[in-house]
Amino acid sequence: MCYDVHKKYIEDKFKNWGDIVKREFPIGQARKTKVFIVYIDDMVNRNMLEEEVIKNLIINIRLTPPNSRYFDYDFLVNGGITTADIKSTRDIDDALVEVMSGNTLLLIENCKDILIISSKGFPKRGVDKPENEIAVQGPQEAFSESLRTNTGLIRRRIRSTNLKCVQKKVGSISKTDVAIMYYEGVAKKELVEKVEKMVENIKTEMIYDSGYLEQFIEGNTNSPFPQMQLTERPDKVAAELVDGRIAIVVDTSPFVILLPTVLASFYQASEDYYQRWEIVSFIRIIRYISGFIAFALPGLYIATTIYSPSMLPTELVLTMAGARQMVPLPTVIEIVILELIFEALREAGTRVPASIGSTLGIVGGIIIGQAAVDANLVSPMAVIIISITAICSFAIPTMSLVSAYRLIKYFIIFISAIGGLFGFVTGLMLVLFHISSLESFGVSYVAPFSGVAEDEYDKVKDTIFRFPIKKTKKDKFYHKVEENSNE
Amino acid sequence: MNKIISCAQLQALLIIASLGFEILIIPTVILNFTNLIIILATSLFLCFIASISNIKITENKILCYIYLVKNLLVIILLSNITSDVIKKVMLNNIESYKILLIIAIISGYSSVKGIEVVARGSQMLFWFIVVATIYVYVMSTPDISLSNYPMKIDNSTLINGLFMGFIINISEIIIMLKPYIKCENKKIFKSSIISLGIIFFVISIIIGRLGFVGLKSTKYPMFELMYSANLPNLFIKRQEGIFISLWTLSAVISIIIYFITSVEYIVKIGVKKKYGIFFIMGLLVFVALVYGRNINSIRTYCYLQIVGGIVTVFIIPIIFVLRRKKV
Repeated sequence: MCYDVHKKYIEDKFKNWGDIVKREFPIGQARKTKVFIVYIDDMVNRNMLEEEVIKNLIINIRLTPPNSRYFDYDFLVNGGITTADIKSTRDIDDALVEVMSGNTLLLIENCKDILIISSKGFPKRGVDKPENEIAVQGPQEAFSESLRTNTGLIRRRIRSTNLKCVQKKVGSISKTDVAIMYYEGVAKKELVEKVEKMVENIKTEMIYDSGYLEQFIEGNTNSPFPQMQLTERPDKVAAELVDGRIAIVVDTSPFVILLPTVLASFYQASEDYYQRWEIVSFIRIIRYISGFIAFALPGLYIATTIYSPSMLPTELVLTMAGARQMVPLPTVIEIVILELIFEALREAGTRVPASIGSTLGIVGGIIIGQAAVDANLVSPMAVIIISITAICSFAIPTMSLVSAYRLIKYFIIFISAIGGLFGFVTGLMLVLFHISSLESFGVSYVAPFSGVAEDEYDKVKDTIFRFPIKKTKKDKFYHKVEENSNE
Repeated sequence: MNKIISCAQLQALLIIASLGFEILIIPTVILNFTNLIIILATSLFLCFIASISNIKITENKILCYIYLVKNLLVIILLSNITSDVIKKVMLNNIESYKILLIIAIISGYSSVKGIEVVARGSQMLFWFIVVATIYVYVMSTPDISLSNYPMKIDNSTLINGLFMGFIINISEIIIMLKPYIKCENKKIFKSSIISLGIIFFVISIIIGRLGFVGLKSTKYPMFELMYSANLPNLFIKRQEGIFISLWTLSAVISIIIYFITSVEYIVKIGVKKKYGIFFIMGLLVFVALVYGRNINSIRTYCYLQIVGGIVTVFIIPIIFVLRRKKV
């Protein structure tokens, strides 16, 4: 009775589904017991399904003597189907969600349980090289769109039972699998619970990517600064998990979310820990200076050339004045227009195929830039300033921080244009106050420079400089930093 | 965001604030070197009272009114002095109202974010400002003349020193921030000693370099020293521009502290925070537009700090200290 009702329900739900596979067939020696199997084509591992399930049901179970017993859950699990990952449910809707997740549903006549056979076999990419976080030294593996592959890559690096993985489904329609991973005993328990609750409470129909999920759980939605770190490197995630952070792995996304996050972590790259500390410290200083230049140089150029040219060497001022003599645009407009053209060029470069990208760079950057200078539309100094700003922005390892700096840059330009060097300084101060006001899951965004307990200042050893690993107590920083640590 | 300031953050706030208006104003008002020592000793005593006092202004409406009036006057004066300094030493070709508008915006934004954010920001700026200041002043030490330190004690030196001790706003800042400070009184006092020590170091070098004749002939002696400091000739010709910018940070942070606490008092009086912020921002802009350059007198500021300071940094905290003793 239950079998027929469920079967009809499934038939109705999967009406007009071209990619669904439904088949009813008798099993057993007498061929009196019917089973109904349902799965979605191309979402299952067909080889496994045919070899371990269908073949057994149709051929092997036929040897079972007639009416020896009913074909129930225990019988099939322990003797019929030769795969370990089987579970049962009596809720047909739950079972349908499993089918849509790539599992196989099996209805058995005279059996109340619905069998769910794990048979996920989505089409997926293999483990490729990282494209955004390239490292010269160190592992060359990147996450892919498969949740299981991603969690596997992390587990491969932390072979400990303390590495926990709590799995949830998010999205009322997409039912996307989301795994919250943490290292038990190091990650703060309250933080783990808070994150779990936040993920559970996400009210949305779809989760498309980890960047989409991030926006539901971040603290300040009106800040251009990223409050969570997205990475495609499993080695980085493994290191951060042991450091007390929490990782959120989202199915269909090749980026894993790391939280809590501080500003300094965006300046750190995985390979920083695989190289000698002297060179890494030097590179870190370059990154910090580049980060500053990336958002401050155009504003500083405007403040000094318009209001305080006497700060610069006389020869340079004369050269700049000479070069600007024929330029019809005011300095501010010139800089803003050039910045916007560069933004357009960057955006176009991201969208076009890689083969055309270099051509676009040559045409946009070199030919048009040179032509604009020759035509006296812009001064060569302005082109140099914009180019240096652009180059420096690429020296920061994390693109989400670069995006924030891109936006902040226009604010600094604006305030420098109004208030000269004073405007520039106060603009920087405003930015500093803004980032100081951010918190990522209770941890100050500017930690460990500020907002941490006083005994935590030794963590500065792994920020601008990276001291020898033996002397750097890098471990468990996020565990030790108390929430609202000013208390 | 909490409203809690740690010891390290308080220390950064006090030192940065002391590098703002104190080193700008005191060299213009002191009579001799002994006078400076008495000013600092008076201020140290006031800091001691402020440190041990259990005063929490925000818990008493009358106190909120008193401190609000004083703060508003201080904000207006300090903003106009800052604007005047910037125009005179840094940006001749900029209108005062633009500077005041920027000060109003940054103060308003900081008020929205709260005192803890300013404390965190100050902690991060601390080394930049302190190292740069010490660098400039240490570079000036070779030109110090010991004959510029006349030790003279008389009644006017003593009385002037006792009153001028009130113009150092460290004790006032401690009292205003008291409800937010999570730090032992001993550490608060220690921070104020360090701040006063830095003021002593900086002003001593200004005196030693320029002498009292030099101090009287310039409006802002500290900038005169920066211009004449033997800084190495690098790519940037006028390096003092950088140090003046850093001084600007200190000055603006002092104004922000007064601004934020004023907003808190307005809130305690019963006005919504956003209206409080807009009121003070509006007041700043109004004063800038209507009175322009007339309210930037250091002398007026000194009178205000002495009269207001006697009430807010001396009498009221002493009452609170005595009241606690009784309990």
